Amino acid sequence: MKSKVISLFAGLLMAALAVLATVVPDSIQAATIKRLIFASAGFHESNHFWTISRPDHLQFEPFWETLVGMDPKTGHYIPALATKWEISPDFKEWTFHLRKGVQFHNGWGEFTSADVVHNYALTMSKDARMTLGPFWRTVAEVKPIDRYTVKFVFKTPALPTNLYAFARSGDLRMSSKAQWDKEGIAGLDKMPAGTGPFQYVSRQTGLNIVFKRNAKHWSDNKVDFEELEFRIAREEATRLALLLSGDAHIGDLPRELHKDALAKGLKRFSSSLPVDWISVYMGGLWFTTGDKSFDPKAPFVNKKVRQALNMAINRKELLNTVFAGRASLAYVSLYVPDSEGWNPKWESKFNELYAFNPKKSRELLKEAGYGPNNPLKFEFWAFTEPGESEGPAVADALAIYFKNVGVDAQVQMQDWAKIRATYRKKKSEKIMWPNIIGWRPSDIGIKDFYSTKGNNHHYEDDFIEKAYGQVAKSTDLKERDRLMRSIGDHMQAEYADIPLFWFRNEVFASPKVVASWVYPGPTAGRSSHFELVRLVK
Amino acid sequence: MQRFIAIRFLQSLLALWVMSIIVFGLARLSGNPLEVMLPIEATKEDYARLEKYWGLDRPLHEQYFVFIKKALHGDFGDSLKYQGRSAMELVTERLPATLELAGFALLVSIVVALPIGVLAAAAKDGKWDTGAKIVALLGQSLPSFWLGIMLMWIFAVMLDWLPSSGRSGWKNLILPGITLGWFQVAVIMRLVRSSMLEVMDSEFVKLARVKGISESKVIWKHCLRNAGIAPLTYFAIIAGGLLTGSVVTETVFTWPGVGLLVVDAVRSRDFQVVQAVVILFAGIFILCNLLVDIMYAYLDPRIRYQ
Repeated sequence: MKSKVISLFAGLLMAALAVLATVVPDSIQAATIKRLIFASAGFHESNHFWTISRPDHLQFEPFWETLVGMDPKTGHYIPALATKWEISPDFKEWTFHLRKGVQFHNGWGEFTSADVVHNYALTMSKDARMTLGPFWRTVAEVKPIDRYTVKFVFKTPALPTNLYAFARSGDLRMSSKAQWDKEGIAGLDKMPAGTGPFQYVSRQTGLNIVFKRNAKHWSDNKVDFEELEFRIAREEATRLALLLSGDAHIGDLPRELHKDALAKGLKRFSSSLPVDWISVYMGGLWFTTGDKSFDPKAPFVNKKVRQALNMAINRKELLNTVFAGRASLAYVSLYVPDSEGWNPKWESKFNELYAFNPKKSRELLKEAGYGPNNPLKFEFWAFTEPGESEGPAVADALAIYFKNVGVDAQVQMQDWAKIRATYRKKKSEKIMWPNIIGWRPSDIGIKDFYSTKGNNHHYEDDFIEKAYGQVAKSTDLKERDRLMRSIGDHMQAEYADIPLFWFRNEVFASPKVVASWVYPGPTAGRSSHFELVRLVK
Repeated sequence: MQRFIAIRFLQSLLALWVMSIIVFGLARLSGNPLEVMLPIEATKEDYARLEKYWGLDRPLHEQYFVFIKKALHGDFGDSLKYQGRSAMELVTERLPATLELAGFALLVSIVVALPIGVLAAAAKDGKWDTGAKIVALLGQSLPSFWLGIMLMWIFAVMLDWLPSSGRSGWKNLILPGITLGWFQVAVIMRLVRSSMLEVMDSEFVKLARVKGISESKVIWKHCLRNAGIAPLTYFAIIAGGLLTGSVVTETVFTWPGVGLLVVDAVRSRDFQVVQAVVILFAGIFILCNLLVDIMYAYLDPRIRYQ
């Protein structure tokens, strides 16, 4: 009797929830609003921008600007706090001409070259750990030429691709020197002044950060709403609830909730350009002559194994299942059509070298010495981080594809810190791991991931080492392009990793509140240009 | 009695010291914070520079002595993540929100559990008792993250009666308060029921009934007053459970308390904040237990002579 009562109660509860779940709530049909609330997965909450990595610069986007802007549709670099810039023929001196008459919020005066020098100095602080720190340390000196002109002098040639560091995709924010001189770091913590289209109002750690519209912004753009709030909600279901209840109007959702969000009437806004790529990396590929960590017996050292693993994957199916079709194929990791060295032939070559072919995959494994009695075995480490929730699903799917060709890939959930420490210290010979990485210029990506100059060691060999060495020294743009193309060709031919997909940034909004929003994507905060959010009138 | 209190106090200090070693060791075993805090562009020099800056390059025993020396003065060091802010400052900033939530959850659990427990005992094996058993079963088996999301879905999304998350008014307290208190409803209700059943079977209750006192007066006045002692002594465990249970509830409802802070701190290997929170919570637990021990000893002299 008791068990019947309990079963009945539970059944009723589940039925009620099922009925409720099919109803589209009225609350998303809100009217025009005064404060636009963006539900975010959260960020490293601090105003010390020199201690913050790029994706967490989302919190600075509304109020702290950069010298160079980014066109929201094309991603091209456009004037912002600097109206123009010149690079010397040897690429060692970059001169920025600053916009005149730009005022800091809260009456902290005009933005000048002294502010640029001051903010650069902050990037050199002892506690600095910003994304582009290694680049900023290649600056020998920042010279104020006059009130509205400033020159960056580099120790070695800084090529034009590095303009992204000065742009909205970079991490050099312009705060007020006058405020710092008077109030010190306490002022920066409490009420930081910027020049952006919004000004800072308050921050409650763990909960939100609030801005108000800056009516005196230097641009002609008129912001549609008075206040902007970033509401932090770590839990994905909570962010969906915030959007559906009308407690937030726009927000980040993980890809697995996109279908639900669309079904419930929310509207998707994609970035104009791809933002992140996902590839799967194989440990132990350190072929550079003299590398003591290299183990010739490591499972992925054999090129045939790498080719077999790549050919075992049905990327089209993976794209349509795990990623709901919302991605594009990556032919060579880290390169996009705008990248230096991009080769249009990579697509056809990819179809030839990487196309799904389990039969060929089995043959290659057999040639490499693996078979039913001696299967290739390795650990497949997956992890989840905010904004990178697909790792385990990709690992599971790939393990099934690998099993289909006789490979025994043991999927293990690991902590990101452990995975990173393992490959950084070159202890990853027997593991494979997926990773989602943000866009960057291709030469920077080669240095970070495929050269001994970097600290990630995804794949290293003498060819890339030599070619990248030439890239780093070359100031001939055509020659650089050729070298970068040769590196990409080599990576593709050598199966340096398992390239999968490129994604755009995608956010969801109430269609009754937000009419349109155009933003580029590869900015430091991924979601940016909030001043361009247009509300339904 | 003084000797008993002194011994218990020293034992509490010893427990706290052991706890400090455990939390210090476990935090370090969880990995290098730089692997989480530094961007993938970071060079070997970046690692070396920040390890030195944060003192992570020093031997573990040295790091521990620095930590314990400062902790004795209430200083748990500066947060690695929130540069320029001390761990204790962050904890004390978030503590009122957690206490508010835990207090409300305790109120919810008492208000709901007490009458149900009494009615279940009064009508043993009847409808109230069956209902109470279902409540107890659901209370102890539904995970709080699931319950929280369901409540949020029904009352915030579907019915639009309450805010889904955040902390901006009393309405924000209701859903997380119920979620957090729900588990304790089952615990308190079962304690009240069993305690009531024991008391209802005692001689003085039979005498009260023989004397013709109404049944409701017997139950709500005579029985409940005596049956309340057992749940009250369990209070320390309930209070501790509410504080530590807030980690999940605060995360689901974005309630900016210590629970949410510690989740972030664990994720980013912010050792100082993790240590401050764990030692603070452990201290609260130990203090509650110490007070209960003293209370027991005061009420029952046999305990202090053992």
